Amino acid sequence: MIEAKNLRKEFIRPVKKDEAKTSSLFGGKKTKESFFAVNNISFKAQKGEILGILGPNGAGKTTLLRMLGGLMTPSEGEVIITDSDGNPVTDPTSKKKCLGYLSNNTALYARLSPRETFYLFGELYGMSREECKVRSDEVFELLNMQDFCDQRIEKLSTGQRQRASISRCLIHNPQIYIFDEPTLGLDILASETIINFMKEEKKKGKTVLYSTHYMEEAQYLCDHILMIYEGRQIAYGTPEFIMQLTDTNNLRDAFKTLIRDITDYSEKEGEA
Amino acid sequence: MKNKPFFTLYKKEIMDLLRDKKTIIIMILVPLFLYPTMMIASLLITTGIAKESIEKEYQVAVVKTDVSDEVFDVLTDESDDYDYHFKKIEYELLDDAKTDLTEKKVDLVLDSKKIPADKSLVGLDHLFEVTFYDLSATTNSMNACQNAETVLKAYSKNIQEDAIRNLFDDPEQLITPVLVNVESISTTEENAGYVIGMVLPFILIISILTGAIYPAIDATAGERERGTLETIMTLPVRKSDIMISKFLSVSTIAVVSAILNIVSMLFVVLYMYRIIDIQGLGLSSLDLKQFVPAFISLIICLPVFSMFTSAVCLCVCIFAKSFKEANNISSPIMIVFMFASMLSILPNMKLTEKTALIPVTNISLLIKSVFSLDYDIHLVAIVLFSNLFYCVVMVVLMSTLFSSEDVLFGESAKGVHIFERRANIEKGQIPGYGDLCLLFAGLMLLIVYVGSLVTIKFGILGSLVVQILVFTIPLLYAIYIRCDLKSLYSIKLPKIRQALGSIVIWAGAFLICQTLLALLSTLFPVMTESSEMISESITDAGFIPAILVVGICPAIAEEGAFRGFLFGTLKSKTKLMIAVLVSAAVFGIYHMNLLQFFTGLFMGIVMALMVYKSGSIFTSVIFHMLNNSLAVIAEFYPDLILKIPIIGSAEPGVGGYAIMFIAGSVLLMLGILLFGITFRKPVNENNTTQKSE
Repeated sequence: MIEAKNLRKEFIRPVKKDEAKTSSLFGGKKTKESFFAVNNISFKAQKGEILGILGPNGAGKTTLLRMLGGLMTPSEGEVIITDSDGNPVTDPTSKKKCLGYLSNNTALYARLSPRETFYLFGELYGMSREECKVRSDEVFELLNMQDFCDQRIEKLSTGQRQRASISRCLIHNPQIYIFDEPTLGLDILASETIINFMKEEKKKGKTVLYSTHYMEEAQYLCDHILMIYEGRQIAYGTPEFIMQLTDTNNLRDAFKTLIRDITDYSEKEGEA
Repeated sequence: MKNKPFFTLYKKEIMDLLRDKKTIIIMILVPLFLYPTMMIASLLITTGIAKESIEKEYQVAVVKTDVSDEVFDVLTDESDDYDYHFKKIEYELLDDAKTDLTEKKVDLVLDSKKIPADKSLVGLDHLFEVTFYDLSATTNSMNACQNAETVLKAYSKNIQEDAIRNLFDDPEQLITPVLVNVESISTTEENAGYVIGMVLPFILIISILTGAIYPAIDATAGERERGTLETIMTLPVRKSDIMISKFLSVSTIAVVSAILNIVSMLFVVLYMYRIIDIQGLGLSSLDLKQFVPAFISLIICLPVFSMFTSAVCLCVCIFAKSFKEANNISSPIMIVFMFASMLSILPNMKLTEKTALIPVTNISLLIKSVFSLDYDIHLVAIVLFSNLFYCVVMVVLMSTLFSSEDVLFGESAKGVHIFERRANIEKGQIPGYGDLCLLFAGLMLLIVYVGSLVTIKFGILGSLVVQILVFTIPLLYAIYIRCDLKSLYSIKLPKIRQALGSIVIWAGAFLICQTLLALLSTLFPVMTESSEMISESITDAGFIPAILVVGICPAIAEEGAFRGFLFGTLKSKTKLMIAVLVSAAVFGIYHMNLLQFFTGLFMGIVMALMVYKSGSIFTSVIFHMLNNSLAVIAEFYPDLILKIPIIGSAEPGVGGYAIMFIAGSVLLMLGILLFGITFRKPVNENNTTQKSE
């Protein structure tokens, strides 16, 4: 199980040009300001659950997932992870052992083969040579990659690479998966492999968190949906609940309605 | 088992780097083929050019006069000795010849004039005056002119010598009044070493740098560009392991590339000795055994230097988002390293205690000195340790950079900062050990270099500057990281009893210190002189400034730095005894004098304990102030001190010291008792019943 409690992450960004004219205390131009890329997000994902994280570009999805994956430290709040027996895991490195993290930014070493990567990473997860061998045969068969598992990754096609990346997440048989836009830019067949994989893992009682832009995909796949906009949580619940809330019959419209409501609201506030 | 992730990561890094063709090219092909080919080619070309310039036949435009034929004959006759060749082209007019010279049809214009001679003096009917015209911007013309001039000057000298021989019977002393003989008695090893020492440092340093820069870029900016940096962050390993493995793999490649460079250099040198014999450097007679210590010290120092270089490269490259950017921002390192290593070629640069501290240049000078067989183990050690120190500094910097999310993810890359933003720091922080080490190491260096300089230049004002530095640097840092200054610096008014107690304790400690000093000066008699050096500038300044600058200011500045900042940090981090000893030892080292180290250590222990027991820094400030002021009073009014029995006498003797020691101990106990009434429990820092301003 993975739980997020009031997560916040503060970043610094350059001030927009027209706003930069406002001078700070010492009369100089204020060129940088701090803002929350993720602002007070909480949720809980149980065993055997797929949680979809939806939001437009720049909403803070990647930052949120990075914090959940232990790649970034939250400015405020905490991430609670419990292992398969329900005991909480506190040590940051042990937390990472429970997680399988995959995003567009997690490429593999192009000069190594999938098998070499598997063995090296397996060693880092504390597995013995034999364990690695048994597990790699298992995973390569599951993902149907026996044909290219000894080729250098730089020579593989995009779909093959994606499968190699997934195999990398599976090395240590984690309880929780975190996927950041795993189907982005893949063809129908390749993305189907990934969707099927997520469904399979769900059946095995694993937790899957994933972010996407594809609303239909999320609607059909996810048990719960977390919608975020400008770092804030705007809706959290089952897809049906969110559609009910917005009085729509698909997630795409629900999403548009929610965002329109928020922009309208903030515009009105700005006018007032 | 704890180290296992690190080794796996190291294995991965090396595997990844070695499979890159570019690494292989830079590491193996460049040193093994490119450098030798370049060197041999340039050698062949330069020798070829030199030969050509000698053998070349120069076109000389001879302007026709009544002596021009004679002059040219002299020129060609005498040229045989030098192997110069001139070809005569006759011209009627000087202007035509000059025009042809500017059009480069001829190399030189020769104009001559007949001059009547005194036959009785020179033995000739007539002499001549020659004017050469050349194009000094053209190599050929310049060489032609130089050669012709040499020849005619030799001819002129011959006439002179002949004339002298005609006048005197034994004129040799007049012809060469002072005979200068130069005989080199340096061994072939020294000669060979000198030549190697000139060339090797530069090539070695640059090759280590090129060996390090490429893998450093690949391991940082390259990984980020390819997106593998984030992958490795998902693994259950600490950032420090990732960083150290990257650092060591880059250094490994740098060292290997350096070794390959040395080997290929060796072969090139051997080959060069074969094809041309450099003056007197017979390789056959070279005793290689003499170079063994040189090689050993090189082998020890080079890996440390490569590590330093790798850390520098990594620190710079980690900021780059892409390969291209990394290439751009690392080129200044190249320039700095080149410049620093070239400094050793300057004839007067030698490895001394000062130059041994300059990074890069010190390695360059070390190589130069060990190969010239003129080195000092002491200096080799300084080079080694200073490189080690710089290396540690760079690694600490690198780990700070590597743990920064800004640098790693480049989220807000415009706002990349080495230090944590102050706004991010929570209140009530305590400085870390790494920061303490850097801060005090930096402070020491500042005192050694800046401090000694300003004290020499500005006297008493300079020492004031040093004290301000000692006080403000830790304070500013503490403010920056938002320490709770009140508890860190133990700012609290002492109870009157404690204030009195600190005076009594000082009196006791001072007496014990005097006996300690007497004991120490019998053990290390040489060391006593140096402590008297300061006194001159003090007496010049007058009593009041001296009391202020030597008595009062150091008490505040040094107490703030050592008992406040350092001890305050340590006591909340480790056991009390360790905190007391470490802060006192640093205080001792700060005095930069063996005798004062021990007294500083002793006084430091006493003062730290006082601060701890009373919870007030003012007790140790009183202590320190009294101690320093007494020294000033003794300097200005020696008579006053002399009146005091035993302490005042110049030679108290063993008995005197024994009395002093006993009296000191009694006073110390008395002071502790005065203090000790509050001994029951250590004073609680949060107890704010007694507030200071």
